[in-house]
Amino acid sequence: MVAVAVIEPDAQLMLRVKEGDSASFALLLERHRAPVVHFLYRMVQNQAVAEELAQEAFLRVYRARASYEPTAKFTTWLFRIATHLALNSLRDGRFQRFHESLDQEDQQAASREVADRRPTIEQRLVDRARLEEVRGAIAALPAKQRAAVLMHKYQEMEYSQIARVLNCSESALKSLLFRAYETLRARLAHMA
Amino acid sequence: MECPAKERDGAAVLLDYCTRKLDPRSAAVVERHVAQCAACQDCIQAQQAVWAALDGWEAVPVSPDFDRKLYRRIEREERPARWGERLWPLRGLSLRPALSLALASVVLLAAILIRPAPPRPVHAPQQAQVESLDADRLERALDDVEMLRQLDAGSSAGSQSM
Ligand SMILES: [Zn+2]
Repeated sequence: MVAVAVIEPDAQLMLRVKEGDSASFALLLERHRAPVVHFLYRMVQNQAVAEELAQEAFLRVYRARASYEPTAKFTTWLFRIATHLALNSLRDGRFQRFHESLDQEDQQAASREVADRRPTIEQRLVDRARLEEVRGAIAALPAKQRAAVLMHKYQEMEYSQIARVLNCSESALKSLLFRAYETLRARLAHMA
Repeated sequence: MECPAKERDGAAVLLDYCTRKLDPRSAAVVERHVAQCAACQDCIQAQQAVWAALDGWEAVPVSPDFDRKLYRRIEREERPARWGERLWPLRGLSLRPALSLALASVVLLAAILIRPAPPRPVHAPQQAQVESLDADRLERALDDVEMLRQLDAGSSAGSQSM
């Protein structure tokens, strides 16, 4: 058993969940809901699918509470489950069925996010085209490279943590990121 | 220094330089090299463009009913789990085949006790469905515990990055 003083706050919460404290689960959910949903959204590029997968990830954390031991960082475990679900979902082609709703989903997101900024129509078209290009470039990456880039860029995780999430060595991860960014540079560098 | 743009492992240095993750001394070394290397200058410029492009991709806010849906799923799971624990107190120790076998025996026994005549018991399909749901859940839970164990093994072998 590790001394409580050296256990990270998330792991302490998870230990309380293990003891049956549902309020601690609510706190973990509050802390990690948005990062997990956003990561999954960028992985599968569909909000409904991302939220469904994120719920499944939190459900699995809750299910495994009885056997939880704070040996790994909590977010490493959480993102490992989330990545596993995303890779399975992409492999199943489950998100293909949802792909048609992309336009509608974009409009919803745009109206929610930029309602108060009111950019000109031209600006919105330019932004939209740029966004499509970015999304297309990310979607074209092999799934594992995509996961690595998203955790590196948006979750700002260390190499060691991403490597553990993806179950590979740190040098294998660096090589994975190198290839991914090389592809992205070829596709997106002109956007500067 | 060796040109980092030309070697695979060195590329991480350029990446860390672009994201300002290098310590000041390493950053200064890279800076001196980059000042006289066109390949590195191009690579850094392109990487910064990629970074800026990715910055422009904002995530959609999470739906307000996310938690409600999650708690409903948890609640739905909890109910049959309690029922299952009463029915099969050693389920935590059993694996799918054992669980299936045990539940099948219960169904069979019930069938013999309640209705010794040839026709099958009316509630058997329902029972079988509950059994397979329970076994599925058990298997997924075991998957996640296994994932945790793999992480444990990784953490004792690798560096402590907590
Ligand atoms: Zn160079």
